[in-house]
Amino acid sequence: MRNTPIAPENIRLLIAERIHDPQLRGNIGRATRTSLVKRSAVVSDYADWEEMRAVAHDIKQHVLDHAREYLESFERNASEAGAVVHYAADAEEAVRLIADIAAPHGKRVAVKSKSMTGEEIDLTHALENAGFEAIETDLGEYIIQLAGEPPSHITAPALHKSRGEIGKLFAQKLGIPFSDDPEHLTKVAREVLRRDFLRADIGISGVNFAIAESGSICIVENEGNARLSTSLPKVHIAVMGFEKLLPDFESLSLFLNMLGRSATGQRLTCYTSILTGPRRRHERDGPEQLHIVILDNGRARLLADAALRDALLCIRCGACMNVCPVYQKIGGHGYGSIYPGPIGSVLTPVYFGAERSAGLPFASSLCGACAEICPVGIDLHHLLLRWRERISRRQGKPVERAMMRAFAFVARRTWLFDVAGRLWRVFAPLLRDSRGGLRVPVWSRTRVFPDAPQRSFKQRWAGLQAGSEEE
Amino acid sequence: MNAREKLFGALGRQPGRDPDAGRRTLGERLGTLEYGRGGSEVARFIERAREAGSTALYCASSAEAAAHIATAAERIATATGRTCRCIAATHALLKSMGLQERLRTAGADLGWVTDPALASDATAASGVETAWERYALADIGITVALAGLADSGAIVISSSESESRSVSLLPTEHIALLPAGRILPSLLQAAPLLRVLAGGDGSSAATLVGGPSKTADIEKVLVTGVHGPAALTILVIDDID
Repeated sequence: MRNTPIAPENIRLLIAERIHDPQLRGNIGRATRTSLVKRSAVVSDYADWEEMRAVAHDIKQHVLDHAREYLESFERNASEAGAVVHYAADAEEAVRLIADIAAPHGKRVAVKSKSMTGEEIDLTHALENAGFEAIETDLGEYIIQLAGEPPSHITAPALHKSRGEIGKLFAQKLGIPFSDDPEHLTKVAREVLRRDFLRADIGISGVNFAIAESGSICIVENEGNARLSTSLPKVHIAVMGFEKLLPDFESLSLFLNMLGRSATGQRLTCYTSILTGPRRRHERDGPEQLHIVILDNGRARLLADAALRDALLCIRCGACMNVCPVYQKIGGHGYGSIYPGPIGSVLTPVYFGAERSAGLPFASSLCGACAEICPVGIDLHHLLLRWRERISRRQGKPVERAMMRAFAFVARRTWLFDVAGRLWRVFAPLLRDSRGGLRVPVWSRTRVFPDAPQRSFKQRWAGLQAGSEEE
Repeated sequence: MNAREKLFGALGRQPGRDPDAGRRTLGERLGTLEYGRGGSEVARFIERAREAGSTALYCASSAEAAAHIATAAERIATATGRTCRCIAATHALLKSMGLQERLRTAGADLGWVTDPALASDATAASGVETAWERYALADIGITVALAGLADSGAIVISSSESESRSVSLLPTEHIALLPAGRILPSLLQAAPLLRVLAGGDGSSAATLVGGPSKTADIEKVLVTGVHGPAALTILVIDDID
């Protein structure tokens, strides 16, 4: 799925598949509605949530404005604490780096906690290809790894699967008797994965926030698998983009209070790990080595792109997709990318190439619900619009371009516009269809084209002024 | 040019712009936000902790807390039909509470994090469990929290020479003692503590624990006890610092 070009025709196919799957629509609809209700309940803790959004937005912009200073500071402090900081320009370099770190002395078993950056570089598959056993430990990720599928949501990767499907999967892959009880299935996964945590040589994680003033990395979770992955194996490798940086612990306090609420309707997630370097000499356990891999993969170029750089503010909460009317109907797989929903439609063309994902920014009604709910105030629907402008300029069809030029020609000349309007009102009734609209090529396949009015607004206005028209 | 040089080159440097000024202004704005200005009352902490799925109890004394732990051990012994296995951080408070004797009376076993058998590099002789197994098979891990956050009901813990990461992570239940005086209104007030913990004399792992381990990855059905402890009990104790 990752390699499927998501041209406009393909996105329509993907959407069509999902629209006609009532089970999927039910699952996604229920899950997103639940998330939104829970979010509202805890956001109402604060009368000044909008002010929090503004401060969070400005903190992130400030960090991006001084990205180099903060990255230098983070690198210095992390190194002082005993971590090793590495840099990777792209996915291949990151994978090679990680394989090199992990490989000496035959380190071959890795436990992974959830990381979108890891998914972005297809880390699990790459490690498997390099001869590693790479085990996903987040329950949702573990399920889709068993199923051989990509995630369908940023915070709930197995959202698209029913309990029956998961029960069958476990029975098939783990050789246990069938059960569709979520409690039982979870306990099974707990037992299986505990043994993996113990025998793993390396633990790999993402990073939610990186604190420049101390060189700490912060990882949030509910299950405990990130704590286990980053505590039991001897080597811990954390992968992050520089946009995860925050200046200090005060900023962290604001973002932690907003992330849980926006993502899962929690005041705080069950566990927030603040890790500074590998285990200290006097500590009882913890990794002997901590490696932090800072991945570029197009982020620096995005930072320099004034029109789109705000996408780097994203804290990966998933609220935008929960509220998106398109996502609610088709789920994450409908986008053909590991970054789905509104933010995914902005990021996928950046990280995976606009040629291959041209359809995504168009799979939106631009309703703006995403921008309203985004905790860091990213103007998502405007970013989608900017992508549409670019893609149309680069890849627009000549016929469409000609039609738009013709319309612009007419619209700039009032007398011509009026003439065209009169002709339209005369001939439009010929196109009327049974739905109360007009039959227009292509457009009418999925939309109702509005019928022409009896009289134009200008005619009615003139009538009103003359007293001969009813208001 | 290697990846680091490429990245730093691309990020550039804003000429004459000192990040500290901007950061100070943002810090002032942060300070005016509502979330940092709540109360730190025990009752508020306990209510929020319960809302997050933890068991939170007020104890007038450490003796009362010890009684609660013993009761929990008895409950587990009855339910499982065997001795309850406990591991505690080697903390002065826990040592002075008479925990060992209380638990022995309740028919439970108590090990301390600093016991040689729990050292992570303790090799397993035949028939003897490894440290990891002892932790994983333990029913209760007992620690002392560094702080409590009243607005979320979460506690701050950290690894140290007397408290391993494992003791609050591997056993089936986690019981944390929290001196009432350590309750802070919110994470904003905890920032100085986190800064110290991240420093040279601090800890490689400071953790905010907000509730028992849980997931809703299967059809959004809530299940507790995924990879971490299935239950978190916070005993707020009043008579000590």
